[in-house]
Amino acid sequence: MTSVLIVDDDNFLHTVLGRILNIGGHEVVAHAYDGAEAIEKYTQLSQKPEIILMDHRMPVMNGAEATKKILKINPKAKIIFISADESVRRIALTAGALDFLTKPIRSKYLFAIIEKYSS
Amino acid sequence: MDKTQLLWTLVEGTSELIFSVLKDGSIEYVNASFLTKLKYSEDNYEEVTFTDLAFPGSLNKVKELLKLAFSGKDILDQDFTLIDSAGGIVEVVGSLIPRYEGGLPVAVMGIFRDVTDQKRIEKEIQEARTKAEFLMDIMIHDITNINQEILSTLELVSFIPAFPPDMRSLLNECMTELERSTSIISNVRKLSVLESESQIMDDRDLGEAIYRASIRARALNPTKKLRLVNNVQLNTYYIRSNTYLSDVFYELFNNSLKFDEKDEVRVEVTANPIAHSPFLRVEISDYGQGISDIEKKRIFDKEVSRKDSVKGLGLGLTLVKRILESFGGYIRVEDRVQSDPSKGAKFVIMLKYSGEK
Repeated sequence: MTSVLIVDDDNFLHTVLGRILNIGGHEVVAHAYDGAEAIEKYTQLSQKPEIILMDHRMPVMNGAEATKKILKINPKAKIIFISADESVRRIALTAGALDFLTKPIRSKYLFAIIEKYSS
Repeated sequence: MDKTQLLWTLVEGTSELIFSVLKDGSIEYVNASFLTKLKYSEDNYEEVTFTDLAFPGSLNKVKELLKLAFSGKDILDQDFTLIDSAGGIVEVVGSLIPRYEGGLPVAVMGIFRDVTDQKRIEKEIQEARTKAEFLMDIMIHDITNINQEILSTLELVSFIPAFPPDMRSLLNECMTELERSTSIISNVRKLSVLESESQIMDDRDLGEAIYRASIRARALNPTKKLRLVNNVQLNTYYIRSNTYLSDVFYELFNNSLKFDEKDEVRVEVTANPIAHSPFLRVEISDYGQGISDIEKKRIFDKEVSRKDSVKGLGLGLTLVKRILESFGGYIRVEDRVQSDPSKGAKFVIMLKYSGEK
């Protein structure tokens, strides 16, 4: 079981992704709806999530900025981007994301990528 | 007509703005077109200096250009903004040439073209493009997010053990169609990017691009088995290309999977350097229904394809062609078996490659 922090500004996506991750045997330990909240949640969690699923385009702070800041807090944080915008792949990977998935993504690929990067 | 009279007629009759400015900035001469465009008359143009005519935002540039011209330099193809006597904007493009007397520059002659309408149209086009891109961007982002939600929800439904088995294939097909719709949206976005933005070029591994394409094509066609016979190894050929190199192969694999009715779809990829040239010849062959000679001529043309509905082979192959053109590549389609379209298609791609291990 892998602990996951979901960062996305879409409320419904949290619901469906959360349920899918549960079915795959993973645990969503926190939800954040923008980059700034992701940093706040990540800092607050005493037990850090093994994987952060990060969107890019969000209000307040985008995913790439949040990624850089989280990696400053913990350079070993594992951040995987899930974005609707393929054109931000380079930005995400340059910011330090381990991988970049383009929406829409099926559960089996999501599980495979989580397994690949889980400790 | 003597030569002087002929030249005078030309200068006064042209639509170009012609003038001569002295070192103190006073205007020595202007032609009829200058007076008309700047809304001055023979009686009052001498009351202003040339720098008085410059729009405040262009004043420093005009001063600098005049200074350079008076130092003896020809100033070619420069643009700046003037103000007419009624306060209207006049955009001009042209050259400043020094006029010498006794070996010294004593005046600067200007020959300029009024490009006010052209600049206005360019600005309007740019604004319209920016607006269209903004709206498309929002649409693509939001629809893709919605598609993710629907796909995930359908998957959740499919996980229910009691879900009727006879409905399951329908559900799977629905999910595949949803992914196809996202793929079309994504292609529209890529075409737009290719047409409007300069691309970052890198040396990209052809083998990796093909591998990634096969993964994506398999994911989009879960009911088919892609049997890829590929002689391009990782880290063998590097192509100076943009981020869309893999999309070329993805679109071709996807078409083969889509149009070959067999459950197992064989696709062969071979790459061979062309001797004494910087090009690599890459062939992608399939064993599907093939492409007729009529269709071969138009499958890379999105406008024609859309109008004439060439079996849906529209946007994907248009994208392939545009991507290849964006880094100097080329594509054509042939029969896998010469003169027999029914035996499958062979796409031949020429790529400039930068290295071979």
